[in-house]
Amino acid sequence: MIRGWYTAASGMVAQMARQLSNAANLANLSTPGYRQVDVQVEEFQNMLLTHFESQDEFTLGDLSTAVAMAPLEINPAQGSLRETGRALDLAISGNGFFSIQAAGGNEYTRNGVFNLEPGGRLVTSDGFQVNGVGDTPIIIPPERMDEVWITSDGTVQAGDDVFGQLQIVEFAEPGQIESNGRNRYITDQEPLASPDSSIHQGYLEMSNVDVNQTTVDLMEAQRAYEFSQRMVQMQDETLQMTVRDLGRV
Amino acid sequence: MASYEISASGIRLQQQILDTVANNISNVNTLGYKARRAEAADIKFNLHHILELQTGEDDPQSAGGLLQATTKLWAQGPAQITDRELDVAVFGEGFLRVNTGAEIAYTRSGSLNVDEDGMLVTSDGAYVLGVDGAAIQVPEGSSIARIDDTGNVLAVEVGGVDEQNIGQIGLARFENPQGLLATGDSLFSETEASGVAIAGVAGGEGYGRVVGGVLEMSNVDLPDEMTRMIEAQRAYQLNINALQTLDEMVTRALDLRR
Repeated sequence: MIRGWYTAASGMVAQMARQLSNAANLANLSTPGYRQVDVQVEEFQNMLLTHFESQDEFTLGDLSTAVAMAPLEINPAQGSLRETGRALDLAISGNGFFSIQAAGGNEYTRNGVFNLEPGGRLVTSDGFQVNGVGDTPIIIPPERMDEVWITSDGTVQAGDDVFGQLQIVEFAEPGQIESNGRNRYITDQEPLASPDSSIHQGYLEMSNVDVNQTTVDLMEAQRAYEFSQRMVQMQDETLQMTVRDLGRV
Repeated sequence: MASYEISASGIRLQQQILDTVANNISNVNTLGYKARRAEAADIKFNLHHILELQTGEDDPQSAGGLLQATTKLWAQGPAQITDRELDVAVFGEGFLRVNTGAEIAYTRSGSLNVDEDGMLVTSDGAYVLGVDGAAIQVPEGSSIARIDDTGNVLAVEVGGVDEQNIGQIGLARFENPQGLLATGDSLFSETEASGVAIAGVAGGEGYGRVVGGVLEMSNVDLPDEMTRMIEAQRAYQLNINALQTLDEMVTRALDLRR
């Protein structure tokens, strides 16, 4: 009986986790290149119930003990592109990521709001180097900034001069990369070339959070949470009755 | 509680976006104004930390969104022809260099005047500096006739016809204009992030032209700002809904103690 209590309580925790991921997604409706996080609720390992009372044990059937949270998944769906007209706003269509040199090694982002730092190195809006092919910096002479154009394969050029090519990578399991905050993602997966991605200069990719789905999911999680809470209460009442009424005999 | 902080961060972020939009909208008629854009970023989603299953972390923010930076949008503002001889616009890269009395600042607002001492000043009274770094003075008895493509200021004596070159307006460029500090009145000042000003001449390589009789208007795109405003309001509301939902769930959990 207490077993059921824990099952219901674990349901509350799982639904709370769902609510929190929805809240985090809604907090990032305006974050360019944001990838929705999904909490997957799954059944905890089932156990077999065995009848011990008689001489010959027999199996009663299996029972779910609890629900658990699977590792977080990043939703890899494409966000919509919005035209901004700014020369160093870049969007990717396809599964690729920009590779950037963060403090602890290469990290990946879909947020293409870039700037030139003094000296002309291409950096993210928080100042990390945007990698060119082979993890090299891309340096644009600042006086030529107004003629820079970036082709769909990420080649950065002004007139006939080529200043480098953006390193665009993708991953075998795009849902399994891990958010590191500040629009950056990290992963142990080997970065692969991303030939099907194309770069759009003067555009940004908007957050891929599905507002309608998230709103529905928010309500669902709340109701499921209430249901689990009710279950905990029922278990409690049953237990109370047991203690009170059985004790009276 | 870390879980309340998620939606609170979203509400705060949308408020900051709304502030940026409101600032742009209120500068839709400010000469030489450059629109700003709020850049949102996410906060690393650490579920175990939020659910307080993991201890020892000191970061109070475990998920949500934040304002990471503000991007200045340098796109050329629309030109308005005024035919006033003291109006100039820079077409392309470059800022007018001005001396406000307190510091050297940079501006794209080119509605110039001549003050009572005959000095060429901006609409806020800052001295416009020439390529030599000195202020430009109109000789007594003369008035400014026009300003040419390379920034030469040409004056004529009252009643006369001969143009006299009294100075050349200098331009300045920055390696990272994003790093400039906006100090109000469409003025920008140099910072470490922007790099030092690179002085130059209108029409030179990397510099735009100076066009007389034209003003550069604000580059705020009103329909675009309105769209952003509506979006931010909606997002604000959705984050409040999420916060209320969380609160109702927490109330439920507290009911277990009754």
